[in-house]
Amino acid sequence: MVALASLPGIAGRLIRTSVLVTVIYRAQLFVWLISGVAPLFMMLIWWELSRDQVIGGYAASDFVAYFLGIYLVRQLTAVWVIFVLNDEIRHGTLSGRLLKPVAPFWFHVAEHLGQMLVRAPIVVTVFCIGASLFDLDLLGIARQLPFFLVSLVLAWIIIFHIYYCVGLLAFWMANSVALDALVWSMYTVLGGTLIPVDLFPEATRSIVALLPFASALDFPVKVLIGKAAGIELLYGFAAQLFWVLVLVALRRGLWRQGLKRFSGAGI
Amino acid sequence: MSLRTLKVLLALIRHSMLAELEFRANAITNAVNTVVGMLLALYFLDAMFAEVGSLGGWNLHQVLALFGVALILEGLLEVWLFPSLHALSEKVRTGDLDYLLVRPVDSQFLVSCSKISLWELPRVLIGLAVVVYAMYSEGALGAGNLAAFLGLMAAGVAIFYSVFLITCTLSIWFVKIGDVWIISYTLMEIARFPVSAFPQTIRTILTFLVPVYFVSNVPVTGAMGMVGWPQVLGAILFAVAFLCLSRVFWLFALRSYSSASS
Amino acid sequence: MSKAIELCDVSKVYEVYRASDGHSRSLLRYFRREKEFIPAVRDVSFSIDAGEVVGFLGGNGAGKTTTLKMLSGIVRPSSGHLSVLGHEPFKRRPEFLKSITLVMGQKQQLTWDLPALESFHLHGALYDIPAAECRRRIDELCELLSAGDIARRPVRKLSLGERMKCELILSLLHRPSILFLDEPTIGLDLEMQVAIRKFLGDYNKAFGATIILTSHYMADIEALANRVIVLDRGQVVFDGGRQALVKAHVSERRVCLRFSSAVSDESLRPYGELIRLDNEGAELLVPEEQVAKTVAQLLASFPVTDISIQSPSLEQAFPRLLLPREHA
Repeated sequence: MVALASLPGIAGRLIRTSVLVTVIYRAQLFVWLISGVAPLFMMLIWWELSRDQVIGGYAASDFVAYFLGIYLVRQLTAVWVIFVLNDEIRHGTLSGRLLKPVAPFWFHVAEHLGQMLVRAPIVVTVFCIGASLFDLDLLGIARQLPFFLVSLVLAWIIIFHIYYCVGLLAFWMANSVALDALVWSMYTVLGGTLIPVDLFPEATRSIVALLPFASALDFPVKVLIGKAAGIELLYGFAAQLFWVLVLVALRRGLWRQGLKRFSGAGI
Repeated sequence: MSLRTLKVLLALIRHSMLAELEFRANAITNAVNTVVGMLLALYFLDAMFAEVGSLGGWNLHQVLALFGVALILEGLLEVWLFPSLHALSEKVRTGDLDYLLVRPVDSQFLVSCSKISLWELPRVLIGLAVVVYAMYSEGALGAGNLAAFLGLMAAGVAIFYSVFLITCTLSIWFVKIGDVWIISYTLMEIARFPVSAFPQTIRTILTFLVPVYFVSNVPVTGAMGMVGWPQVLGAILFAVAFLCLSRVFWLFALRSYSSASS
Repeated sequence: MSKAIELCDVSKVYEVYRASDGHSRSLLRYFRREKEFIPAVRDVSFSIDAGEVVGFLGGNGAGKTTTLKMLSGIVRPSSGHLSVLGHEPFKRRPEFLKSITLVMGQKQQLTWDLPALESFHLHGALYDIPAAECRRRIDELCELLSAGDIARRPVRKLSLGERMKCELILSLLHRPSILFLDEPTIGLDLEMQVAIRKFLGDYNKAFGATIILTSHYMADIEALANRVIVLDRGQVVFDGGRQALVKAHVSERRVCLRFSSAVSDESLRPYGELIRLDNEGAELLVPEEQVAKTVAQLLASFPVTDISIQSPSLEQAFPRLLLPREHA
């Protein structure tokens, strides 16, 4: 195990490398930028629908705030580790990572964090522009930042682990990338990209709200726009913590078992 | 001559499928993913229509049909357009386009059909099934409507193909255009919703600038018996215009390529 | 009788935007790019009869590949008149395309993951060859090239030489009457090079196909082409017999000697330019007119155990052809 003291140094290096790589390979940036706009279109649809009526407790400005928040959180928690893992496991390049004194997991984390550092300003700018265009209470949102940032970090850990675990299935399956579409569909619909979780039917809403997808997307957005307060806030954080613990344990278990099957030369 | 074209097309399809044999398992996962995706979409639509009466004047079944059309288009993208046309930018970069140009077969045809991966066909079929189901639920299932739907769908696909061809042809000049495909995928997500659900400005853009309306909305209006002659005429005109435009543009691009390649 | 290939004052000028350097591909720089005109081929004229095998020589960037691409219709000439089998290549008429073939040694036509046989069948469909006839031709060509069973294995599992054999079979399935071969033997081992040279020679004799061949291996040209066209910086600097080219530029012969006892270098110098002298023997460059006389003197004056006189080769002649131009 690497001495804790040297972790910040290594982490810094890893993140810095990732940032540089991002700057050079701007193509990926373009894909990420364009593919993220879907929530903004949902925003327009709901805004149009709620022009003169409140729907499920959400007024037009609420919908705008909500979907801008979805855009922000979704972009900031973008995860592509499933492809990286599949590639490394299938082609055996994971071996190279295993030889390093730092666990491969941290390489993957650093790569993502590095990219996020570069992308964050863009997303935040879009958010602010959208917010001012629609006359949102930016001050109110700013006041939510402390809670929001905590929920954002937890959300990132949750969604990162979901994809990481699916990626680790490549130790057993020929190709776990096929599951990416499945996870994405669930994440999109049940996370609140198309409709706020609050607007789901009574019967099923509570179940959806407890799923990790809502914890990773819907909840942090509600925190940001001030729609999660008091008891709801506590429940939300509790759910997030629950999923973090479960998923981290799952990830570590899968990793241990998977390594036993890893032949080193690519499966 | 068309018999020969058909023979060549079949040969290309067979060749592509063999090359992708290892992906035949994908056909199943593809189908499963699509079905799950549709169930989730239905769940979402149920939730949405529980809160609102109509979406841009469309009811649940009509929007469901739209989702089906989007599936068909996405499927065509995966089966046909992406494997064949997107590969153009790579072919330009490696110089493999030269080999394509030396064949005694029309270059646009070859480029457009160089790789057809039928393993992804389940998505198209499921999309069709969804449309038929929506038509049935709406009580609009009839020979006339089906004919109108298929005809307008063909027009929509023609427009979609032309636009995709034009964007991929740009890679002859701008080799880095490689990632423009994501715009098509994003438009597919947007095309799931009726154009009339958006604010006016977006409506205009989605009708005339980026013909999402004619590609996805109009076929559904045909399926549901909502269509009027203006829409049909518009769709046909757009289809013909875009096909001609894409042909002219392709020939122009070839001339440019042969002037600049080295 | 009209020629198979005819070029008259053909030129090709490429318009290239000077590549931006550095990482900042800012939009502004994109619009302010400067256009550069690169003349790849300048006023090239020559004609080739049906059934001829011609070697195209020239350094990198001399215009060989561009000329081949113009002849196969891929690139449009900026000016001049080009005719292949009576067609204007750039019009890319199907009848024209069916009678030519282009093989680029550095680029592959075969589908990587499939057996070459599948690519052959696709090729047959593209060129409208009936299935039975296609199979017959595949067998015939496999036999000629001693390709055996390699066509059944996935292309990615073949060695470079085996792949090249399959590429050639693919290119010849439609019995083209003109073959454009751009470095077909590049990267191959000696045995494979010899096999392919023999095959092309046999093919030319059997089917009377016209062949234009570019290669950096002089041995290819010496084995196949009696006529060479040399390009330098886009212009034809030589068009004629291979032997004539060599004769014109190589005026001395290399004489290799072995001795039974030690010999001093001063004693050898009067007979010619001494290139090498060691325990193995010596090598002298002797002007061609004096070879016979000098050799007789060497044999008389020295304890020679072995002597050989090397014929001048294209390898020696070729660089000299380009040399004066470099100092022009």
